[in-house]
Amino acid sequence: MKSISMTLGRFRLSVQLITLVTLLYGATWMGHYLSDMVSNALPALSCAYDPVASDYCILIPTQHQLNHRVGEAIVQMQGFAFKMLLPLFFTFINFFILFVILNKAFCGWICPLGTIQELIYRLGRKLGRPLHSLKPYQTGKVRPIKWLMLVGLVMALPLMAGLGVTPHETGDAFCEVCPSRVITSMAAGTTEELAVGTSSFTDTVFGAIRAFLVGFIIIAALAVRQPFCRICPMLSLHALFRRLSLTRLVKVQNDHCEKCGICTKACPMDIPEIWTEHGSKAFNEDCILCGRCAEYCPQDSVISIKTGPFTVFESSRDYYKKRVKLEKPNGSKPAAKNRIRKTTKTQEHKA
Amino acid sequence: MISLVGKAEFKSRITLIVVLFIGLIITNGVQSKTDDHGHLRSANDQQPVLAWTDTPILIPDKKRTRGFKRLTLKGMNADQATVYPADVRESWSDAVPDNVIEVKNRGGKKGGYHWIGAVSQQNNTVQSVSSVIYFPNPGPAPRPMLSQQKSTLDISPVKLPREHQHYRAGENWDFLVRFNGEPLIDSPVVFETENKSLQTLKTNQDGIVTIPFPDDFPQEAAAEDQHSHGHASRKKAGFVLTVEQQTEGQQFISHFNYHYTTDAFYKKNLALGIGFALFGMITAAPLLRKSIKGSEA
Repeated sequence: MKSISMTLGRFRLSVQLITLVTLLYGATWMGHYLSDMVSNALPALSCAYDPVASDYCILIPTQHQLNHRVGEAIVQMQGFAFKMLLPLFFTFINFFILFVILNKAFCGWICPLGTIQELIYRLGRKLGRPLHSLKPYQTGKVRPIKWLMLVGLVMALPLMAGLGVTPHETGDAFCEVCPSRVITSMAAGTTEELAVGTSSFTDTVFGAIRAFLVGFIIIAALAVRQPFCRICPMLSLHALFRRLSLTRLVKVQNDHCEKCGICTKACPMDIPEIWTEHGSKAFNEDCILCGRCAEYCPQDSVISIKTGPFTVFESSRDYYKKRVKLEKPNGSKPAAKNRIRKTTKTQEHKA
Repeated sequence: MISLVGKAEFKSRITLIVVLFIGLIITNGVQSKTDDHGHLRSANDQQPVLAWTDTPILIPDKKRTRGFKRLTLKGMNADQATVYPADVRESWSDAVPDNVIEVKNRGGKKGGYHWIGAVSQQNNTVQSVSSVIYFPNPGPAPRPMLSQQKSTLDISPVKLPREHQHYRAGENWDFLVRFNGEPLIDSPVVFETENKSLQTLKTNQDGIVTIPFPDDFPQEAAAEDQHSHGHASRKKAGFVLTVEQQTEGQQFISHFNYHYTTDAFYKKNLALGIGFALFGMITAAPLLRKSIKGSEA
């Protein structure tokens, strides 16, 4: 019998699958009201529109509080009282408790939409589809979009809806276009979130964008790693506070890095900085702390994931040798043993 | 396309489209704000609460309030109302001046749903009316609140909708009828809705009656002034369940009222959604071609 070795990648996949099932169907066996009790706590795209979800993401209360509390408070001219901001503050406190410990690992380990995209990408490898990695200049162009999503859809439009400037539908503008809303609720057996609202112009436009994104992401994820994650406001929300968390990605300078670059090839977010930079610059705003760069770094202790003073995982030559036998940095399976050995030797030689 | 029109021109076109789109949304919002934002009415904008039935019910205020909810008792008089939070051990009673109950959110981890019940006794008739309200509190699930016997003749939902969800037209939901804490078998339950539906159903061997919420919302023209609750695509209407039981010369009547909304696909078009999803798929399809420059095998 072929022995199964536990790698960080396999461990992460196990965590992703367990959390995917728990988040999507948890209320089925853990109680009808589960999401009401633990709501707002989990900074991952787990949707309130999923009828049997066990939790839902922080972006829903964030938008609602900006819309119903902050916006309306300003309109009613009763002062921008602290009590109006207090619920928003508590929402973020919920977020921070978990975030301080795990940082952006929520994106790479827990988010249902992230897991589904990754599974589709794996399917793409099985089907022999090409991989389209983003070049550094392309990555630079895509990065601002996630900030626009956060500022525009999660903050500005809900606030403007509360002020009465934009329609009520924009009170949860991000949720209106969020593909996770459709994908997770469809996984729970309902198609209602795929349907496009026809009650108003805004409703129809939002519904059309949402449905389009779902279709685009499902196909694009076969050939592009994590297409939606790159523009997700949750990534930018995490990125805002990434330096405050105990968990972080650490890279030390190494002379071998210049000619290698396997880490960037392994990165599902195509982050060039993990290859070209070191120190704090290597821990980029797009990093989802999946740990693949550390897994595929052929140098001992160059890239590591740390929580406080503890090293959770660090790169090592021996681990790298085992890892590439199981999976190529781009996620596809090695074609043949001989070829892998040859590739490994070549990469080691280069490194 | 980019090569045909030039990069700079393409960018300016995209910018123009974005600006026009934002402008359209803002224009749409300004037009809709007065009628779409019922919760923006001032605190002094009190409107008379009209009952839609002769059956005793508790009608919540349409106006959104912070920290408390106001309900008007119609069709019955009572001196006080009892409030059961999800954690029933912390129940309390409030006076009912002028048939108005003001339930304060006492915060803490009491859970979201609160049960409001009022009882009136006249001669040999004991009548109770109850409903639920929701505060965005953390805390336990409302199971203890629902399973607690709150009046001699008690009708309560087996499950309440989760936050962000509702009883909806086209769905079946179970309600439990108990008398002195025991399930009441084969007992008629009258189900009446604000949209004029009236049905009499019977409890089963476990004292449970399954209510099929009807799709009885009026057509669009007639529904314009119905409670839209700020969500243009969702209408809601009240319903009330009534059960009676006579024993030892006493008559017990119990009512539970709450609301239900339009069905899942009300003002939604699934075909349109599938169409846009397919359009998204077709747009992404070129990525699956191996010949694209820069792709890896």
